[in-house]
Amino acid sequence: MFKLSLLFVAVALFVATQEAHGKMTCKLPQVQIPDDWITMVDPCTKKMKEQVQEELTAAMTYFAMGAHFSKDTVNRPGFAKIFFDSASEERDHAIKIIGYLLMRGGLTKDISQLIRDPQPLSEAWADGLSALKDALKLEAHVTRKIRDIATTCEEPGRDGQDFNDYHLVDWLTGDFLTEQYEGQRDLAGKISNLGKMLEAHGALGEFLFDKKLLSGVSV
Amino acid sequence: MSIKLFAICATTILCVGYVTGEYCYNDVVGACSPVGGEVQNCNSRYGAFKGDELLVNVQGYANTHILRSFQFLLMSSHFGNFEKNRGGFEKLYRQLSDKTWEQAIDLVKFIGKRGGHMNFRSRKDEKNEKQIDFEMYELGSMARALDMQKGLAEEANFIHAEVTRRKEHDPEVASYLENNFVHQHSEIIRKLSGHTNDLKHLIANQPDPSLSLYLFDEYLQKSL
Ligand SMILES: [Fe+2]
Ligand SMILES: [Fe+2]
Repeated sequence: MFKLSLLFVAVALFVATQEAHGKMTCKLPQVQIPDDWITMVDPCTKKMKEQVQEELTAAMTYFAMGAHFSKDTVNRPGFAKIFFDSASEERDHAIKIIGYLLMRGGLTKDISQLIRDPQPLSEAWADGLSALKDALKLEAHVTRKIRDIATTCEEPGRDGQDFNDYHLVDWLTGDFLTEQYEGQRDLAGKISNLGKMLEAHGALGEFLFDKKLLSGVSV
Repeated sequence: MSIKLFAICATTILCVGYVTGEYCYNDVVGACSPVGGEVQNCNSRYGAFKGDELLVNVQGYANTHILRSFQFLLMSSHFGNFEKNRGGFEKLYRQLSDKTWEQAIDLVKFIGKRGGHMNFRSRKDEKNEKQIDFEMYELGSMARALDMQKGLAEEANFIHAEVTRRKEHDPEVASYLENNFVHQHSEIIRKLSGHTNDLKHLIANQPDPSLSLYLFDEYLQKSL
């Protein structure tokens, strides 16, 4: 009987300490915020979210290029440098898109679906030229995707959701497409210069080109 | 003379490698001879990077950084939405995301330096944590960040132990980890632990912690 009452006291104490220390109000109550300012509509929002994954896939592909050209047996530090820089740039693009969605009142739920383990499209390249060509194809693909967002967001075209998102389209064409077209032209120029040298001076051409890339001069 | 050399070589284990061509120079001599041959041993693999075991662990470590970087980015984005609206938390997690991204790149450069290659698929099983709910509240997110950073620190310790105690001694790997990871980890962990405990005290025994959280977030944003 004494034993039983001791047990009772112990249980009561345990419960008491639990209540004193274990209970915290961590979640704040929901606030009623008007939502008629949130004007982005579904098919458009969806495309924008998908673009985050696109940009990060590009980032990872450039990351893999950087890794490949960093290898001791490949030894192209100039190529590695421009590709690592591009990887971080693509990541910045993804962050920029996230920032835009946040500004427009988006991303209040299902955020984990935004980034789904992006992986590089390829992990080895025959030489610098083939990596540059892959990079140009990748950029052209990203450009098509951005144009595709603009098309969708100009005319979401679902019942009752007709909303031409002028601002988003302007932002995409002004900021993103400008960078895409400039970047593509730069890559095409590099492929052209390196490609010409490779005709007769394969290894030496790539060696010299790599040192140019490393010193940061425009080639 | 050459017969004599061969005799000496054949009797010592060290020279067996030389004769069978585990050396760069040997490959080159072979390739430059009329017979020709492959140059396979001219690489920067030595020490603990001779085998694949350490390489796989460092690849996995780089991949953990990439994974964490994206997770911190999602946490940052969550606190940037208009309902949460915690600029300080958003900034803190963005910085952690940037940092882990930079360190992933650095690790991959290091792998290249030591003659390895990167494999983006090589990572430790983290099945039981795949389902992170990123819709977090303030204290919960800070606790999560602390755990994530500790995991990164433990993984560095594990690799460090491999190159100092368990497997082949490789002071260069150990020193690289110390200079670029180990000390920085302790700094970040200390900071996050401090934040977590501050938050805990600020919201404990309060029916409505909203003002505390608002002020803490403001402090966070200014201090970063
Ligand atoms: Fe991009
Ligand atoms: Fe790009």
